[in-house]
Amino acid sequence: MTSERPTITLITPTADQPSGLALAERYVARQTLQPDEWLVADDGSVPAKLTLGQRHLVRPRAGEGAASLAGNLLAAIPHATGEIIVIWEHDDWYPADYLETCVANLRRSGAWATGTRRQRYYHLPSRRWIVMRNVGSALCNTALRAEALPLLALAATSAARAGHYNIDRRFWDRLPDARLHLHDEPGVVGIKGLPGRPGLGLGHRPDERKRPWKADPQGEVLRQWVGDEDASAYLALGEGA
Amino acid sequence: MPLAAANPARRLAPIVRPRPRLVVRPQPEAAPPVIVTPRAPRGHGRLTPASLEALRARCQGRTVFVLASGPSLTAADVAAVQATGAPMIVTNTTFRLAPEADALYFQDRKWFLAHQNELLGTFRGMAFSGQPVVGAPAVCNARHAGVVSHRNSGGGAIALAIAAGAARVVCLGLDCQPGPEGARHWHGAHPPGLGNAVSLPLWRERLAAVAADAQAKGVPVLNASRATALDCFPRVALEAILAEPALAAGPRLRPEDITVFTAVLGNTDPLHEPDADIPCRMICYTDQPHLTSPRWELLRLPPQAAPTRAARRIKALSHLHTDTLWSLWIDASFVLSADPTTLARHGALVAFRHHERSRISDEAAAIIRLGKARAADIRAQLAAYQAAGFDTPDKPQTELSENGLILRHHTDAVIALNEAWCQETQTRSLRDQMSLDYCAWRLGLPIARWPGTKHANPIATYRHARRPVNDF
Repeated sequence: MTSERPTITLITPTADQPSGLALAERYVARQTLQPDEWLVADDGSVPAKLTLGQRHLVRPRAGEGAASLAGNLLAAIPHATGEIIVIWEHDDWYPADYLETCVANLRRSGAWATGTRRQRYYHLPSRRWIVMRNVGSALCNTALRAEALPLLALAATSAARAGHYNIDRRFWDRLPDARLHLHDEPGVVGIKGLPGRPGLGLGHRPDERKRPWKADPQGEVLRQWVGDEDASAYLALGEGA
Repeated sequence: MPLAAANPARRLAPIVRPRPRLVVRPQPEAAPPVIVTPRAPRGHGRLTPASLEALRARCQGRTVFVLASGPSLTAADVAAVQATGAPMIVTNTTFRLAPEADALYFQDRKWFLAHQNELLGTFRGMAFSGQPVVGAPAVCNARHAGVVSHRNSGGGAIALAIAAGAARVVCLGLDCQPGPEGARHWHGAHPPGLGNAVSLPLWRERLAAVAADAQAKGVPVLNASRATALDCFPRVALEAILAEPALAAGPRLRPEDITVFTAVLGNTDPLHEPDADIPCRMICYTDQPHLTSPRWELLRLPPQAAPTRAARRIKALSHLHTDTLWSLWIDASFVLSADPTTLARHGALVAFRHHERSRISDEAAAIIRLGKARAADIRAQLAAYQAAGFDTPDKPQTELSENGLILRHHTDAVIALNEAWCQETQTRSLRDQMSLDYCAWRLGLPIARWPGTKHANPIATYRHARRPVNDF
């Protein structure tokens, strides 16, 4: 990261999630710091429609679940030319200053990766929410320097070999304290249950026996988190999910 | 290409916040000239500075072989012992059969004076003496380390092994009798002026005292000599010892405990397939999109603007770039021919001893001569290390690591070394042979050695291809 303004690459692994991807374009477009490159790795049965000049890496569907996510990430990594790489998940909500915050955090800390420990999830079909505080961060909250790309590649291959989707945990657990920047600021909201191919991981199938999900029948929490306009768009999608 | 340029019709918000200014790093001061230190003073040679602590790092809790100079000792037996990777202590002229032994013990000052040139030129282990030796600072007076000499080289070597923490001592060439044709040693007579086992009649008694000492300390001492007059140590067949599973295989790792890894970035050697059946994971980080391999797991990266810098980072930080407790880094210029799960017997941190040089001051001169780095960077690096007390004229470095094949057990100490080494390669020169030994010295971490050199060893074959330097 030597230039005055580091170059930024977004990586979005996706598959058959057209509505989520359309929202992702909206959130990228309003970022206060614009990316230089957006790689969309897509192993869906129907290639996504992209409108912002993203590089579309269409790949054959190699498998379900962990294999799909890891495969998409690994397909995108060799094309990532930015000094900072940000994982931008297609189904999550990002605040307008997300990229600017990530860049500032990485520059200030000198760390290889930054993310929040405090992760907010919202399950649209059941209108339930949860806030987690983890040891590391989630994939949707992960921004890293190019130096850490080999570690992300290793985490993705190791997770795929194990048949697990926990790429984020494998990545964050690998980094020693001196090389990571974890904070408690809320940022991304993990939106679960959008129409299309089911997602992976925590919250896509919330189980109250394991974690205390809370009800939000009127969508008030969602509005508080993402604002009225975005909440309305999500809730409308949730109705159709 | 920025997204806006790729699709001018899109509706993206402009950047509305001022961009932070870059803090420009000051240029480093003019580097001092290379300090070419004189060759090691007489008395150091290629010897590893001897200390009981350093020997203990190799011997603690293990079967240690003592190879004495009796006429029954053979090169074949020494090679068989060496193949186990077990620690070895040789006596006197037996260093000729085992120049890679961990230690040499000699009792007689006269023997040292007669052999020191040859010894210092060929032997790379630690030298311990039963008598004070003047002018050889790398030789440790064993008495000062609390080792009783028993006025006999074989006895002193056994006592040294016990003092170094051996769980068991196995002796070879401890004959205490002449050979069939009256030979006193396996190597023939000593040079004129030296006696040839003239006090042999006294040795039985002295070695009986060694046996009593060992028994009192609870350390079994076995005599595997092919012929011997001694009866104070239990006899054992060498084949029986070598067939013991622990020695036959050495400490063996599970395949899931170790990863072989390498990096093929920029202009580098082609990736070589292993020559042996490798049961563990093999990872190659590469930015070459068309590279394929039937055996290596290729982790593809973007084209690297500074490929050597990136490769050095991956190489140094083995604990981050592998998933396992052990790793084996292999330069792409090597072909792996040994099962990595069998290599732990060589130590927890293992590299080649450089086949030509023993000091970073010589390495620096070679790097500058070959144009492999900016001369100013290398000079500054050498000066910094020497200012810290490493490889100075009065304390010259005795072993230089050659880093093409590095075994690492990711203990806290090794991880600290990795991080320190990475810091050096990323902030000074990228020539990692300049910095590994310095970092290990600073952290007090001994580096064990592979048998042989990078050109002749049982683990990997060197197949270097000439190529341009990527980046400095």
